[in-house]
Amino acid sequence: MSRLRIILVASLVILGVLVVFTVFRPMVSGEKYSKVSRESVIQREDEWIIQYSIVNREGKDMNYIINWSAGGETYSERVLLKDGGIFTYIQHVYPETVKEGKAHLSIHKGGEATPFEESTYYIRFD
Amino acid sequence: MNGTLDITIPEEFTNVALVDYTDFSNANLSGGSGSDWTISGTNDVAIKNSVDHLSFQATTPAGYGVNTQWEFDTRFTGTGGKEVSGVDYITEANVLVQVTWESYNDAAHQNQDDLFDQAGEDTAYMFGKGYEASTAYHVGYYDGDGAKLLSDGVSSNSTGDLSSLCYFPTYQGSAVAGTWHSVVYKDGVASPPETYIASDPDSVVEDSFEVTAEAIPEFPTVISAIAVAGACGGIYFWMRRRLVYVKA
Repeated sequence: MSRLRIILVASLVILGVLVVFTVFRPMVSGEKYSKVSRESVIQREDEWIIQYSIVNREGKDMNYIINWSAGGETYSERVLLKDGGIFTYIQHVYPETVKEGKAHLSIHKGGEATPFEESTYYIRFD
Repeated sequence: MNGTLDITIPEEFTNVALVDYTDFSNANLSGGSGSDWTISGTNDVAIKNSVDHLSFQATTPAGYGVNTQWEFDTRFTGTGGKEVSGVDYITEANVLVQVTWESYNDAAHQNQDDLFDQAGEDTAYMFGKGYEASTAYHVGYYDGDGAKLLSDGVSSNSTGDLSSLCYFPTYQGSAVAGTWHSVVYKDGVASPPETYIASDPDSVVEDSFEVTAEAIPEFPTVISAIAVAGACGGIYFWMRRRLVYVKA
């Protein structure tokens, strides 16, 4: 086997190991955190769909509180997310529910008064 | 003897008909078409115990929701060994309207399915009828351990249909296979709890279905295969281009 081919095989083996570790043992910084991911806003003919996921990397089970308000109506929901777990929240927004064209979302972690994620959506139905 | 039984049924009901009027053989039905229904009848024999039979059927129109309290005003007046003064309520019936909620493996809700056990069956499409029209609900999805994975805030349409879906691969590596539950809660009444509660009295309706590990893969196999194959091919192509042919 030529030296070039040996290098090729070795590089492929290293690449495969890196890919496996990337998937099954991702490197983490050691910092504990919660984050919102996969946020998407989708417009359909007669509705808007707001979707996002909460990921718990706190190293322990965590409680979250989701608050949603639109058109004078408010909604609140509690979530218990185990360590490493993912929770998805989807909100369908209809024309009759967004009177002022604005909706507000906040996510609180544990008993914290300050939300760790907060968004305002300006929605218009043509 | 000669007691008169009168039952008033709200006009919103349709297909009202007597079913069993054994003890009230002259019972008759009137009303409808924009006015309340009335069933009236006289008991055939003297009532000697607490049970006399008169039953009827009725259908609620589409769009009327679950847990709606309907009152069937039932009055019985008669004389016998004891003088009756005034009118007494015999009973009031509260009718619970049942809604449907089932899982399907297609977006058109044609194939009802309670078992998601293949890689291609990665979405549970939920659908039901009989809900309050144009009303906001939240649908909670719980995995095999009872952990809440998803909350979908969705409204029923003008005919009381409700739909929602859960895409399993979103929960790769975190959700537990087994019996999953999809539970409907009406906004303003309750929200999906943090963990699954069986037969939750605050819920509207629930459905369960089986989700196996094959339906929630740990890793997208196709993507990994393409990535590794592409990387190998790229390295090989690059090294081939660097080959220097030496004249023998």
